[in-house]
Amino acid sequence: MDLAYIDNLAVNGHGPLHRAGAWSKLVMLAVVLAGVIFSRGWVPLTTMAALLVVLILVEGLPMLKLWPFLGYPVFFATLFALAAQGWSFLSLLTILRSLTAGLVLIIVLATTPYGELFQVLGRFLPTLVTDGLIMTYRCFFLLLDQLSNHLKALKLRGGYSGLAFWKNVPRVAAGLGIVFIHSWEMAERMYCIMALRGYQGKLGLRTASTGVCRYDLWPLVWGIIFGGVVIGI
Amino acid sequence: MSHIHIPDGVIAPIWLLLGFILTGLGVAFSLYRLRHRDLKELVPKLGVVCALVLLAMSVPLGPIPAHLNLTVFMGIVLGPWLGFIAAFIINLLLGFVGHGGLTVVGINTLLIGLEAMFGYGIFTVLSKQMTVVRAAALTVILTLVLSNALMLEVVVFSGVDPSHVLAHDEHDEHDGAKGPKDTDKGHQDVEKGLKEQSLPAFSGKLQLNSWPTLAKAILPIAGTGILLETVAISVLVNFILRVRPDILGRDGGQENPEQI
Repeated sequence: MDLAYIDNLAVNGHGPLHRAGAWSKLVMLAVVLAGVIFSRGWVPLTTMAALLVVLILVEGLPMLKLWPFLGYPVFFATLFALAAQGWSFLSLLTILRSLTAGLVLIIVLATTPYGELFQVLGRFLPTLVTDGLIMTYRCFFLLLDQLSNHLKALKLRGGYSGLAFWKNVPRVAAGLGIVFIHSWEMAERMYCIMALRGYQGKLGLRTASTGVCRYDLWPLVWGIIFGGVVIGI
Repeated sequence: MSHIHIPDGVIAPIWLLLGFILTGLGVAFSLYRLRHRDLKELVPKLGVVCALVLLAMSVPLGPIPAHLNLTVFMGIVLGPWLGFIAAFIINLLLGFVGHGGLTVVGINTLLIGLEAMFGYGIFTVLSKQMTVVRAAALTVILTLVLSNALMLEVVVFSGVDPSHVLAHDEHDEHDGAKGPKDTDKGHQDVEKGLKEQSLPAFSGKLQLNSWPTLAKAILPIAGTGILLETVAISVLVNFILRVRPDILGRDGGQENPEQI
């Protein structure tokens, strides 16, 4: 899943959901996930999935580019369902559950910057975990850059081949070793920087949305609709 | 390797709730054990190692869709308590990028967190008996065999309704005054319930005799993964040992084992 692409959509989008706070979108996510888990039939699940597709179109999200992101959850749900249930209506239901859950997750991620998500989660999670999340997210892109440069160099020098699976493993591992040493030293430098700047916990995040606003009604209304579909149908 | 790639809506809610409760307790206990450590020291290392593990999971290793995990390495470097917290952070982020479901974060954290903790413990013992690289290789093999067995149990039992297991006790209470035949019928009812059960989220027929079938199906995949991970982590540990041995605690740079 291309994190950078999803993040770009979330930060630069202009739909109604983009203006809503992260907390209201997480409430909508929770309602849909609860519906996915507790729904007994295909009708509520299909209705929720259809409404989610409508929401994607209303938000102006690039539908064709987002569909491949659903491949992962649907693939593993299919594997699990076929292994446990064989070709049956129940296995189709299992796949439909994962598809519905995947759709709502895509909508939330494509309309909410990760910083806002971590800010909301930070109200419930311990400081070390929240700061760890923020630091991991930041370091991921730094290391991704380093690792992709290293892999490029490896390929140029003939050390990485698409088919030489067992040769790739030790070479990629050695590359990860170099990246790890660099990143560990980066972490040690960060310790000095954080000490100089008086860090005592709680990395501050300044995000655009603050508190409750009228745009939060939009995801909350959708949450009520999804809840109604699960209870009513 | 033992990370369950199951999306939301597949596993029964009781197991999801249990996973979250146990994960919460695990994170709380880990934070308690780390209470005297400096956050300025922990947060950057946590971020960097978690990012590396996430990166390792996104590097394809050839034509087959296999990837490294490095969770045992994570446990060796960060220690058991920070390793468990790192497992929670990694799974939460993976859930938020669609690599596995959000509702299975609890279960996955338990599996990977225990992998990190076992990895640290086994490595600490083995590194005193043999060379560091051999100890790392053996640690990976032992830890991944344990965690894959645990993962197998979780996958199979997540399709069983625990209320059918509890019904066994009810039958005993009600049948207290009756003879052995009625108790046998109670046992048969429980067996039948275990074999054919219906749950809101996972309404399927999971036969108890699927254990050997599932194990046979997973064995080649798990075996390849374990071999992959062993080679990768051995090379990684060997490299780090030559460049920065203090990271692996060879110069006393790691968490004091007496604090465990």
